[in-house]
Amino acid sequence: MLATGSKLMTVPRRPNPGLLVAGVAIAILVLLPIGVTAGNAVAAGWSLAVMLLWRPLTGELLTNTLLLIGCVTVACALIGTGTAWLVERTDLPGRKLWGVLAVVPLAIPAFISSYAWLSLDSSLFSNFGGALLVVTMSYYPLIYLPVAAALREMDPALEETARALGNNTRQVFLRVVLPQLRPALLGGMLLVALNTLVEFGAFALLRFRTFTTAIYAAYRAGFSGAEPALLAMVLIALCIACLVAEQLVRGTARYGRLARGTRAAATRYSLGKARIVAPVVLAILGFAALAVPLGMIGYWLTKTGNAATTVAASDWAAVARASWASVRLGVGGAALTMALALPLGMLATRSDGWLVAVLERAAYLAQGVPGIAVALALISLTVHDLHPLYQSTFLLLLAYSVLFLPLALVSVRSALMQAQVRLEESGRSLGLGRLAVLLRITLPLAAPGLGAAAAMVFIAITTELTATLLLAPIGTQTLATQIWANTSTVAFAAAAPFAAAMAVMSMLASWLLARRFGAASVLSIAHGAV
Amino acid sequence: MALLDVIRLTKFIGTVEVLRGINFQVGTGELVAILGASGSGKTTLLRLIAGFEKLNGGEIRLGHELLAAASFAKPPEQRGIGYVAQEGALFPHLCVADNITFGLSRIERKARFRVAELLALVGLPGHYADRAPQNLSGGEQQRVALARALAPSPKLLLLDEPFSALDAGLRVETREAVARAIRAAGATAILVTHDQEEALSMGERVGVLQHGVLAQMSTPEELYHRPASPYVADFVGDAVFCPGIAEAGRVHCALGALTLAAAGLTGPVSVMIRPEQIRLGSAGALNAVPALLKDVAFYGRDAVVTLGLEGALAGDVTARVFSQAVPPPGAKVWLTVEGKVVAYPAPVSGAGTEAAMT
Repeated sequence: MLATGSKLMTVPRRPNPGLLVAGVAIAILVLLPIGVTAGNAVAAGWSLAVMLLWRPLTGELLTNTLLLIGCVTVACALIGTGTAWLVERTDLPGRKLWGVLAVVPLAIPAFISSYAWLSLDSSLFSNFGGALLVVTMSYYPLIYLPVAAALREMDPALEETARALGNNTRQVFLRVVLPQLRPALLGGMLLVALNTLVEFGAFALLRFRTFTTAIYAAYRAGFSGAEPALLAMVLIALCIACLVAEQLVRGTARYGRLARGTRAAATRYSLGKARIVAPVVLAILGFAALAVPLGMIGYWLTKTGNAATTVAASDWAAVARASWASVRLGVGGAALTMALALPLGMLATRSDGWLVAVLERAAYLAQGVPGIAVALALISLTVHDLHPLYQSTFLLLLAYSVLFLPLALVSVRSALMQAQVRLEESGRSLGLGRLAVLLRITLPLAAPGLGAAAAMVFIAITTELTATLLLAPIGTQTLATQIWANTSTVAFAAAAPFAAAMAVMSMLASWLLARRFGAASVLSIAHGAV
Repeated sequence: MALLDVIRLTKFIGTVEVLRGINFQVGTGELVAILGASGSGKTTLLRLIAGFEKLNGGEIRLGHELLAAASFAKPPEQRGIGYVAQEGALFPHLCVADNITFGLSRIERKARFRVAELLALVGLPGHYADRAPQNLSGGEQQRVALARALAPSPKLLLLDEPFSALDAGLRVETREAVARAIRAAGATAILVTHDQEEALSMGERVGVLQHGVLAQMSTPEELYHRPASPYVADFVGDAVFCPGIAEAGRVHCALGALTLAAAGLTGPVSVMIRPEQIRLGSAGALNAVPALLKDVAFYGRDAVVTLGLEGALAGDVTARVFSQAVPPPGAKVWLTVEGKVVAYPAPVSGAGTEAAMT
């Protein structure tokens, strides 16, 4: 069916000049890290750049990173699609529960999982296999969620028709189901690749060398800003390639559903003998993705006072202080991000023109800049020229805003779309002024979506490690930095209370968010928080 | 010899018996329409024949072959039965030609076997072959779905409310094109619908499904003019019921002494008259009954008038008449009934004459 929504507005809407100025400023701010990184890389000069990049280290990093991404992506695709199929299309016992369990790993940051596996056996998992295991267990929900949604939305009549045309179950899956899953599957795989590309904490703890950890090491070595900047440019290029591919997959390959009417429930296939095997496989998966991270935290919690608690002997007061610091930064960062997202959202939904389109694109492009690149760019910008800002809380909040603006913008945009211009016009014709329209129509309609946006940014910030680690003012200790510091020194028991606090906070907030706005909102955190 | 044999078919969904002992046959080359209200079990019946669901009792046979019984079900892909779903269900990832050849072998798919022929059969131009389903109108999608179902030359074709999602104008056009294509292909088909006009105009025979029971199956003319029960009479068209006394092939009621379509009934009956059988005439006409014209609803070609009968058998009846020369409301008119009428034994409890009238 062709889309028949008639365009209400054909006259181009001119953007408000004040908003436009603000929008341009925000876009410049968001693109600043790429600019600074590129500037630092160029400043290195051609010969130094060639020398730094054209050496075995870069090759090793590329191989490590790309090989891992390839394996993680395929593993996540198999596990995510398999789980989604079992939950949505078979008579699997307890499928509701399995469906929930398949999403929960999203609320546990990958560096917490790596902490758990490391503390189980630090030598066994400090390698490619460990990295593959940890990251796959953390990211397979990124495939599960979109694929399960696609399976739910698929018209069962398609499969029935294919069977009536002589295809058995296997042929129907290959010829009808899989092609229609392709957009969801490819989009999810690129999302996994992007997340793996920018993951820092998990790989650093597992001592697995990828671009992010090498950039960090080069920065710590501190010879010049050139090497980290050059490596960061390669990483940014890879990220943007993933991002562009993801946009292409999303934009072009979505098959609009042809049918409009109500549909029968999807056919569920009988698992037969596999009805016993399937839950066992899912239980093993749940064990690796959930029971190990949460169980290990629980185990180490009971070991306080033990020999393992050496370096930073933690007490509950320290945990409370770190939690409070995380919450404070989360609230502050969410507020600043929303303040930046609102003008852009207003521009994007209330006006047309090439400049508005460019500004919006610029904001989304920021998604391709990993936390480590943002943090290093802001450091190099402030350490000499803007020294009062260096190591200030404001700079950290600014880094969060740059990182999570794309995440906020998606929700802000759709929230503002809820308050349709038509409704605002009705308000005006009923005698309301601009301000009254904003207060009585636009905000009440957009409020839930704006709240969701702020909540997502809050969750993303409280579980963020890289930028926090690099930019936190001296003396500011958050849950993430405490877990990092203790795990780096193999003080697993000392890290446990912080890890427990973060896991509880993240899972609780995600659960509240998912209950109010659906599991997809938790997915979009992972989408925006790269 | 019948092609399809449905024998004492029973189906439960949960504890509800949605089909209760359905018996019917479909002959080779025949187009049978199954008419039923929503919830009558008509779609379930079709899905049982296609093999998407399992039956609880009875048998389905195609030719000499058993397709399904209480303990046996041949998988749908081995039945050789074509199926056209409610909204076409074209595969959105395949172009029109690939949709049409979907059920054929790999070699035939490569060669786009019969694509042009089938497109022509369903009345679509040949250059549609490369179009994406998203770029077709609802009616065109249905035609492609029909072409796809016909491509493997199925022994039997099933159509599940294929026109229900279409706009009124497109529906008639698509319906005619589909009927033509099915006849030209010489296919045997069962069409399920809730639209009586669709069932009567397309089906060579029409079955009425009432709460899981096949109330009547006959030619459209028989179904409309001699419905087996008041339910069927009311379901396949507008009907006026009025009480009367039957005797020797005639019935006496408020509309005069009328001829029965079938003799044999005696005593108190409920008489069924189609509104278009009632004519407005002049005072002198034979058997004419006086009435007061209360209200006129204008429909263009026709008008539906509400008539108040006078005298001891007072009550309202509706008549469908040509809209030209309808007297104004308030006029006194004389009614005659054209043709034969159908009568059913009156309900024993006699809910009152007034209530029985429409």
